Amino acid sequence: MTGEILLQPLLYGLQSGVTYIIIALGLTLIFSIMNILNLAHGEFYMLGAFSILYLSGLLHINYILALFVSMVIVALIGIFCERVFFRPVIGEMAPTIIVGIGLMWVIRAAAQLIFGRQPRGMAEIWQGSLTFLDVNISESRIMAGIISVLLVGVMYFFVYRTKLGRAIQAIAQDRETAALQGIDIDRVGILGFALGCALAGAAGGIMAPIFFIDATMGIDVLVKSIAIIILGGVGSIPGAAIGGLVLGIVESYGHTFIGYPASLLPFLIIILVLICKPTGLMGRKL
Amino acid sequence: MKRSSYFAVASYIVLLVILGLIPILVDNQYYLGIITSILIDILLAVSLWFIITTGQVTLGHAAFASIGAYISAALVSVYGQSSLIGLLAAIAIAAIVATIIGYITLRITGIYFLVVTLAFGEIVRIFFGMVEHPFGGLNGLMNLPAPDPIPLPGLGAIDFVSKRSLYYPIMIFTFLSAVIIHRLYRSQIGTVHRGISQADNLAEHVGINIMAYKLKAFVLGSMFSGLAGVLYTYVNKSILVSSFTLEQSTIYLLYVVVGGEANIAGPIIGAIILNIVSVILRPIQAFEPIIYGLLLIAAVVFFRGGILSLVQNARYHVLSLIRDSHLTK
Repeated sequence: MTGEILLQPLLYGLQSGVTYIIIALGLTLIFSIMNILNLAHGEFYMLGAFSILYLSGLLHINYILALFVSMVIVALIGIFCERVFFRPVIGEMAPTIIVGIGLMWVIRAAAQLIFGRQPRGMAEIWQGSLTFLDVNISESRIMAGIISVLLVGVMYFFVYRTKLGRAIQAIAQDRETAALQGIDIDRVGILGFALGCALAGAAGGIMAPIFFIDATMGIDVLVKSIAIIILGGVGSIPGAAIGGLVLGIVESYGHTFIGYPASLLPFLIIILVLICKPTGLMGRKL
Repeated sequence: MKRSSYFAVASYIVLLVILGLIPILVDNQYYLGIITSILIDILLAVSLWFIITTGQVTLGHAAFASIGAYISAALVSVYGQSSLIGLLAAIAIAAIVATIIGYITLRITGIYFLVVTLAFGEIVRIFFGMVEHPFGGLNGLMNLPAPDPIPLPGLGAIDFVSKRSLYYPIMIFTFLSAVIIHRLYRSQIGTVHRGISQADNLAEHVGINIMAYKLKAFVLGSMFSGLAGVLYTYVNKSILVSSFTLEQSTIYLLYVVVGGEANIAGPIIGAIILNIVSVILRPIQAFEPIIYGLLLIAAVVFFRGGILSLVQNARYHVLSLIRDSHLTK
């Protein structure tokens, strides 16, 4: 019995942790390529969740296919935002932040107008649950965990093993040198931005069958993903992975044993890491 | 006293007279209420602007307003202290918290400072939501009393029950705070602030203790934010967990950015114009964040420097037109 109480939060935390990794990867990708801390990142997560709600929940398209389609939709919205709003101010810290805040408001309010203010739920794709060491865990969560792990694996392969991924790494290390080596910074930048938004959208789509969907759900996710990349080290993929798992698991235990005060956790992480070890666990020098 | 100082004093007096006449000219209670809350927003915008002139953009400004509001409200309504003690304690505690937070976080710059202050603001919000006694937990504190009447010897007392009588203390607090900030910015301190925000390395190398200036500006700005929080409880008679959130902090930033950062008129103009926009948009309130968001983006993408720069450009064009017409004559 006591084992169950300790194991249940671990499994739930692992699942949400793996999904957090995807969102944080998107945020850290955009930050390291474009030097933009995209404060509208959570809104792309929300858009991904609503896309799945409509595609899979209401139009009954196959869930995996719908997940791909929603990633494409969110990526296109991301490309539009980058071209129109971020491009004119790129490279400047305060203006990019302000554009991000503006986009956050616009997208959230537009979503409230289009999708309504009520939280929406969608039917579970996989009914039923598995029992593992006396712990009951729903199949939706297991599938969400598996899809997330696969996606993180694909991202890892993409960044470290493909040519485009290496171009992204090069830009993250040194923009100008990368440009001198013949990398088209502009093209890789927009691809990276689109990919970052698509990852946020994918995470939204993965979480959609488990949680309620609501137009204001972006801000929580944004804060969590900022905490993750700061904990892991800004710009580091292994760092985002560790940060995501740590936050997911600790948060899950926190909500089980402490309750409401556990929502302080991401903020405490941000403050403590930036004060004590600003490079994060795996980060380079700032 | 320099000639420019006489000019400044004269314009302060003119401004004070105009502000003092507003409740007499505006008969409508609804509009007077709006003007009063615009004054509080001006105080918040101006104090945020003063911090931003040192180059530190904070997203935790509303947190200090909520500290001020909660401390004052709890002392007055839960512990039965006088309004004056509530006000002073609120400002003092805002100053203490700002000193501690500023001392720890101001060495962080740029985007990381923004993220740290964002986190601090959210921690404050969650903290007040957690503490049932004396801050009322998630329900906040309701039905707060109006500020204590001020006794006048031989003439009875001034009470602050009606909207019109409440306007004056808020106007005076906002006016005095704005004048203090304006005087500081026009002094050598303002010059140093500009130096720090433009080239902090250079400022440090010519022997300016930039940490000290940043900390002083942060503490002072946060104290005024705390004061604004206290004034908010006088007007709204309640303080809720949702009164001062991250959303509010971003709105104050919007005032500064849309108004312009070049001088103190920017945040004031920004607060006034955006509040008027918000009143006009009230029938279609759902669209308000969309328009605010687009304005915010437009302010950095299309008219950099805010409304102030538009005004300055227009003045430049008018002046050059006049000069040209003079030349052709």
